[in-house]
Amino acid sequence: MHKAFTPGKIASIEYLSEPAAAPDGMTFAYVLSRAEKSLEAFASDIFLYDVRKREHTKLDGDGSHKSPAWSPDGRHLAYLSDASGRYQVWVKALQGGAHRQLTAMRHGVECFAWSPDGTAIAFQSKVYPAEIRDNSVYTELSAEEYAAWRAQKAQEPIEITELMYKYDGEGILDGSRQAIGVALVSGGRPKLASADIPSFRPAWSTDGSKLAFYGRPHTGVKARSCELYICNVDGGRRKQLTGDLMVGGETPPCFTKDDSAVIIDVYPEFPEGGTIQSLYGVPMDGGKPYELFDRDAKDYMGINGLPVSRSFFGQAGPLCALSPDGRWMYYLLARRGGVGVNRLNLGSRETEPVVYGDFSVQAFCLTKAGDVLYTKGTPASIAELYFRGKRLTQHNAWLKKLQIAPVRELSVPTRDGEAVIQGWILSPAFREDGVKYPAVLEIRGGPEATSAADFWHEYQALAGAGFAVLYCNPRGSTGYGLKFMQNNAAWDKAADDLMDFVSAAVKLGFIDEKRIGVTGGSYGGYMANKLVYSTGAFAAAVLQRTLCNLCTSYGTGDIGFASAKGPVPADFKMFAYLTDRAMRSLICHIDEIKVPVLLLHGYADYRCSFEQAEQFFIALKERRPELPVRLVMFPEETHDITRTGKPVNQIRHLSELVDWFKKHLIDEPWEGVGGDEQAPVEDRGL
Amino acid sequence: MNKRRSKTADYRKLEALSGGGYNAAKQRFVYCCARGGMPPEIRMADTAAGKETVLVQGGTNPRLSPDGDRLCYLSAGQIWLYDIPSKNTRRLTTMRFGAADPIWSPTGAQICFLSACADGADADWLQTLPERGTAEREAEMRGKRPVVIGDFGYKFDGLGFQQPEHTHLWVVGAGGGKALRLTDGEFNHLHHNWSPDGETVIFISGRCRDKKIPLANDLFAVPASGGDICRITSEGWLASYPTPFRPLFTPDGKYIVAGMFDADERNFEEHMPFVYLHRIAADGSEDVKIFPSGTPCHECVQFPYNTGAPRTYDAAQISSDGAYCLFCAGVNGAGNVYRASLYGEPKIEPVTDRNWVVTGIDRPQNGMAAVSVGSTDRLGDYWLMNEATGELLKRLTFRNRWQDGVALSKPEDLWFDCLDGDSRVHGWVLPPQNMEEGKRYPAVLYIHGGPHPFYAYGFDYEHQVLAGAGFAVLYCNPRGSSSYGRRHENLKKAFEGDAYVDLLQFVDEACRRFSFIDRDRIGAIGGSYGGFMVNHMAVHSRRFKAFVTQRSIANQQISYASSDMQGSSEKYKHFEEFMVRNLEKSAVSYAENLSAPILILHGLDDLRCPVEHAHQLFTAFRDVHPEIPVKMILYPGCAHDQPRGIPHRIHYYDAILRWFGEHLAEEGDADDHTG
Repeated sequence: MHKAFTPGKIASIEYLSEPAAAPDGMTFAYVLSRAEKSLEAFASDIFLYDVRKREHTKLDGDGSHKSPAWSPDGRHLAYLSDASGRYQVWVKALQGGAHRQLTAMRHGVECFAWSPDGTAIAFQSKVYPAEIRDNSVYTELSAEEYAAWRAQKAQEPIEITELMYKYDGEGILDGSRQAIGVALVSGGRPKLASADIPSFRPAWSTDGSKLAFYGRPHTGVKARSCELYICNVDGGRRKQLTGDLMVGGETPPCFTKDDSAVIIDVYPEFPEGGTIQSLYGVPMDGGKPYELFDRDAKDYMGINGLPVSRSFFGQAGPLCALSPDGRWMYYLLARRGGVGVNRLNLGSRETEPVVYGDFSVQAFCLTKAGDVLYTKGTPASIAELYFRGKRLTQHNAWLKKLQIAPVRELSVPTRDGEAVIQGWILSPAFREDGVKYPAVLEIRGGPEATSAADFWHEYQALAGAGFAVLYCNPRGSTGYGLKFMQNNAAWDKAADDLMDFVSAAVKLGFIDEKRIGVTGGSYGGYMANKLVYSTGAFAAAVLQRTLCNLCTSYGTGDIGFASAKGPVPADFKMFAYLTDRAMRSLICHIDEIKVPVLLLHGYADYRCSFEQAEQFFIALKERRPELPVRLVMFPEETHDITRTGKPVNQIRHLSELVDWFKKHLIDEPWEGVGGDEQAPVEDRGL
Repeated sequence: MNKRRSKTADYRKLEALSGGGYNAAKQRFVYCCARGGMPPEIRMADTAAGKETVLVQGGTNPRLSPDGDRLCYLSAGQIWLYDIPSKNTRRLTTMRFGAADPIWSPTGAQICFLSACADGADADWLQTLPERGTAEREAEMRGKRPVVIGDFGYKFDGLGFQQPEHTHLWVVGAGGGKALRLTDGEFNHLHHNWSPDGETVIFISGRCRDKKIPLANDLFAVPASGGDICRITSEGWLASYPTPFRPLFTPDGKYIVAGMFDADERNFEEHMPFVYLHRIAADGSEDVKIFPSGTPCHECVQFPYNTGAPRTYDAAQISSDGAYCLFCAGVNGAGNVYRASLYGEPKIEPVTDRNWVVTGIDRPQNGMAAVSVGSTDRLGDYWLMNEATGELLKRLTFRNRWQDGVALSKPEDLWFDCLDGDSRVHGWVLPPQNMEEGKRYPAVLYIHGGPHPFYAYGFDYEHQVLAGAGFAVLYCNPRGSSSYGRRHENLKKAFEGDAYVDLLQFVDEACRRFSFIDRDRIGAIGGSYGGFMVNHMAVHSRRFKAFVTQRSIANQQISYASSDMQGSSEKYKHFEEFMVRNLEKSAVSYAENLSAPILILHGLDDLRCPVEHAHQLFTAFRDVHPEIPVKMILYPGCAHDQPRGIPHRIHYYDAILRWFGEHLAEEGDADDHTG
C-alpha cells in the first residue's frame, strides 16, 4: 500500500522554473531547485534538455546555477552562478567552451538580459553609494569574506530618516539600492547605467541602443512606487516616461518590435475598486500611454492574477513575452481556476488562450518559431517541463509512490445569487466509503489572488493526515472578472461565500460537520479569524502570519500609512485614526473565540509583525485561559515562510499545522467549556 | 584652568568595578576591573602592604573562599578556581549552558551555583561541553530554531526568548568532580545561599506559582546533598525585582532573614510594594516582620539610578555579632547603610548618614565590612567601613585615575514644593564643564527610567559628557521616584500627569535659580519610563527645542502583549474599551502635536519596551510631520539598555551630542566632543 504525503516530503520536491528555449529550438534550458541535505537552504542547477535525444543533462560547474539565457545566436548560454561567492553572470560557449565569469559585482547580480547583438549584458545588482564612490562595488568577495562582511554589517547601528525604511523580505533598508549596469561579453569592468535611484529589471531596445528599466524616484509614502525609464546604454539621456500610472514593475519592460513604445504592466484604477494587472504601451516620443487590452471586452482580465497556494520555488520568470514577429504579446493568466498562456493581438486587441486547461502554468517562454515552452503543475502532480502539450521531464516521479489525494471541483452559487463560487475538495488520501472525515477549510492570502488547479504540498499533507481539504475562490479573488472583486467584496461578501462553500461541501456526505478546522495566512488568516469567532462552524483554527490588531500593526508593519493618499489634513488626529484602526480589528472579538488556536509566525515578518501574533496570543491566554493556544515563532523567517522559508522551517511549519488539526479534530476533539452548547447547524451560517 | 573637558572617547578608559570581596584575616581584597571594552581582570589588593596584583585576565565574579586562600570566578561561562598561594588555576565546571553566581559553602568545601538546564535533560549531558566548534554552532542554532510558546513568561529582556531551559541550582565540590543538580521542573530558581552548617541551601522560586505573576516567589530549602525541596514560605513574595534580596541565615542557623514585598501593595496599582525585612524560622514555623513603622528608612532595599559606585553581589548582610541585619536603603536621594535588630523589639537605626550612595556591602568580619561607595565627585571605589559606626576606615581601590585630568563638573541640588502642595521634588543641576562667567548655556533635562528608581547623590559619566559638550544637565526625582516615601512614590502620579508637571516646574526652578541656563534652549532626554515621559512632552509641551527618546514606550497596547512584563486587560469587560484606554494614555496618539525635532534610540533586542514602540513612534511622526526632523537609530544586539559594547556606546552618545548640538547649541557654544 502506498504511503501518504507528509510534511517531511517537502525535502524531496524538485521545483522547476525559468524555462529557456535555444533559438534553434533544439535545446531547452531550465532550472531545478531542491532543498539542500542540511535543510538549511535551497540549491539549484540548470538542466539542458536535448530535443533530439529526448534527454536532459545537468550543466556542469561548481555552485548553484539559475536564470539560463541564450545568446541571440544561440552559441552561448549565460546564467547566474554562485561558484565564486555571490551570484554572478557566467557565460559558457555551448560547443565545449569553458565557463567564464563575466561580472564580479560585490553584492552579486539579481537578473540580466542579453543585448540584441549578443555583445553585452545588462544586469541588476545591489549597490551601496559609498562602494560606487570607492569602486569596491566592482570587486567580488569570497563567500567567506562576504559572510564576514555581512555579519559585521548586521552589527552596525541602523540610522533611519525615511518613512518607508523597511520592507518584508528585505528587512530594514540599510542604504543599499538596486542599480542597473552593462557588462561587455568581451570582458572588462562593467559600467553602471543607473544607480542614483533604485533601478531594476533592465531590458534592451530592439535596435540595442537603449535600455528600459523601472526606477523609484519618489520619497515619503510613495517611495515604493516605480516609474518607467529609458536611457542610453551608457546611462546617458535618462528619461522618466511615466508619471500618472500605477506602474507594476513586476515583469521586465518590453520594447515593441519597431522601438516606438515600451510595454509595461500597470494597475489601472477603477472607480468601483477591483485589481487588474494590465499592459500599457508607453510611446517613446512622449505620447500618452495607452492600455493594450480592450477594457470593454467581455472577458477583460489583464494578465497574471497572482495564482498562489502552489508548490513553486525559484526565480519568477517574466509574465509576458513578445512574439518573434512582434504582432502578439503572450502572457500568463489565471482564469476560472486554470493558469494558462494567452496572447493578445497588438493590432486588433483581441485575446485568445494558447495553453489552457485544468492545470497551472508556472512559467513560460517562446521559441523562435513562436511555440510555447512551459512548466505546468496539476492538483495531483508537481510542475514539470512541457512543450506542445507533451511532458518532457519527470523529476518528481517519486510522487507516484505516494497516495496522492484526488481533487474534485465544486461550484456553489452565492446566497445573494450574484455569482458562482468555484472551489475544490481534496478527499482524504485514504478515503473509505461511508466514513465521515474531518475537514480543513484553507483560506489563501491576497485577497487579490487566486487558487489554481495546481499541486500544493500544504493541502496534500493535510489530506495525507486524513482530512478533507476545502478551498475556493470567494469574491475578491482574481480570475473571475472585475465585477467579482468590486465594491469591497473581499471584505464584505467573501465570508458568506466561504461558508456557502463549506456548506455545499458538507452536503457531499463524507465530511463530519462537527470536526471542521480552518486555517489561512495573511488575508486568509484574517478571514479564518473572522469565521472562527463569527460562525461557530469550526472546531479548531490555525492562524498563519495573522493580522489581528490594526492599532499596533501601524508602523510595525511595512505598509499602511495615514498619509497614503497624500499629506494628512490639518485637523488630523492620530488618536481618532488609531482608535478607528483598533475598532476595525478582529482582536475586538477575542472573547468570542471558543476553539483551540495555533499561531504560526516568522520573527522577521515585516508585513504583519510578530507582535500581531503576541497580541492574539496574550489576549486569548488572558481572557480565555481554558482554551488551548500555542504560538510557534520562527526566527529569521518573513511573511513568505511557506514559499521561500528555509526547508527545515517549512517542514516544521507544516508539521505544526497538521499536528494541531490532528490533535484537536481527531485525537482529542475539543469539547468546549462547561455548557457552551454548539449552535444548531442552521444557526451557524452553514 | 588646564583640565580638559569630558568626551565620549573617555568610555574607552572608563574602568567598571564589580564583585568586591574582603578577607579580614588575610587582609585581602579581591575585585574585578573591566576597562572600556577590554577583557575584565581580577585584581587583588593586599590591604596591609598597599600593593595590588592582577590575578586573572579575562575573569569576572571573583569570590574569596571563607579561608581567603582560594578564589572562584567565572570565565568563558564556567566556574574556575584560583589558588592564591600556589597561583594554580583550574576549571571546576563544564556546564553545557554555562554557570553563574557561584557561592562558597561556609566550610569552603563546596560551591553552589546556577545553570540553565534543558527541561528533562540528563545531568551528565548537561555537564558535557560540546566539541570545540560545535558549541558555537549549537548556540547559533539555538537562536535560529523555532520557539514554542504556550504560556506567559516566554521571553525576558536580556535573555531573549525562553528556550526550553530554566535556571536550576547545582552544587560542585571545590576539589572537582561531577556537579549535583538540586532542583527540577520547568521553573527558574535563584538567590541561593548556604546554611551555616553547610547542610542546606535556600533559594527563592516561583515554582509553586502561576507564571502570569512573575514576581511571586516563595522561599525554599533543599539539602546540599540533594533531596526533597521544602517550601518554607507560601504567603509572602520574596523580593527579586527590581532590587533582589538574597535571603540570609542567622549564624545559629535557626532563622532566615529575607526581604519581602509589602503584602498590602502587591496589586501594583499605586505603588511598587515596599520591601520589608522578615525573620523566618528555618523550619517555616514563624514569619515575623522586623521592620517597624516610623523607621528612618522606607524599606530595606534601594533603587538608585546613577551611582558611579562599583557593583557588589549583595546589599544586605548579617553583622559580625549576629545581632543585626545590615542593609542599604535609599532616603531623600542618598543611599546609606542601616541596621535592623534581629531579635527583641524591632528597631532600625542608621549606620551611615551622608549625601552619597552606598550600593553594596560585603560580609562583615571583625567589625569591618567592605562597601562600594558612589558620590557626586567622581566614579566611586570600594572602601572598608566600621560596621557599627559607619566610619570609612580605608580606601580599598584607586581606579579611574584618568579622571584627575578632567574638568569634572559638580552638581548642586535643589528642592522645591510641588504645585499641588502634595510633595516636594529634589533635583540636581550639573553646570557645563569649564563654565565661563556670565555666559548662558543650553541645557538638557534628563529623566530617569522606572519610574521607581531615584537619582542619587551619585555620578554618571554620561552627564559629564553632556556637560563637557557645553550643556547644563538638569535631573530630578519627580513623583513616582523612590526614596522619598510612599506619598511621593505614587505610580499613578508618575504616569498620569503629576510627574510631568513636576518636571516642567523643575525646569523653571532650575532656570530661575541658575542664571547660566538659557531657558530658550532646553532639550529633554530619557530612557524607558524617561523615554515615555520624553514622548509625552514631545506631543504635549512647547517648552523644549529638541528631544531624545531612548528605549521608550509609545503605545501601551504594544506593551500589553509584547513586553516581557505583559499587561492585563482583565478589568475591562470589552477588549475594545481596553484598547481605547491604552491609546488615550499613549504618546503616539497625539503625534500631530509634535513640537520639536526628536531622535529615537532603541535596541533591536529590547524585550522590555519592545522595538515595535520605536517603529510605530517613528512612523507616526514621519507620517504626520514630514517637515520636522525625526531620526531613529536602532542598535543590533542591544536589549533594554544603552549599548554595552564600547564602539556602539560611543556611537550612541555621539548621536545624542550631535542631535542636541544641531538643535540646541548656538555657534561657538562648544567644540566637537564626540568620539
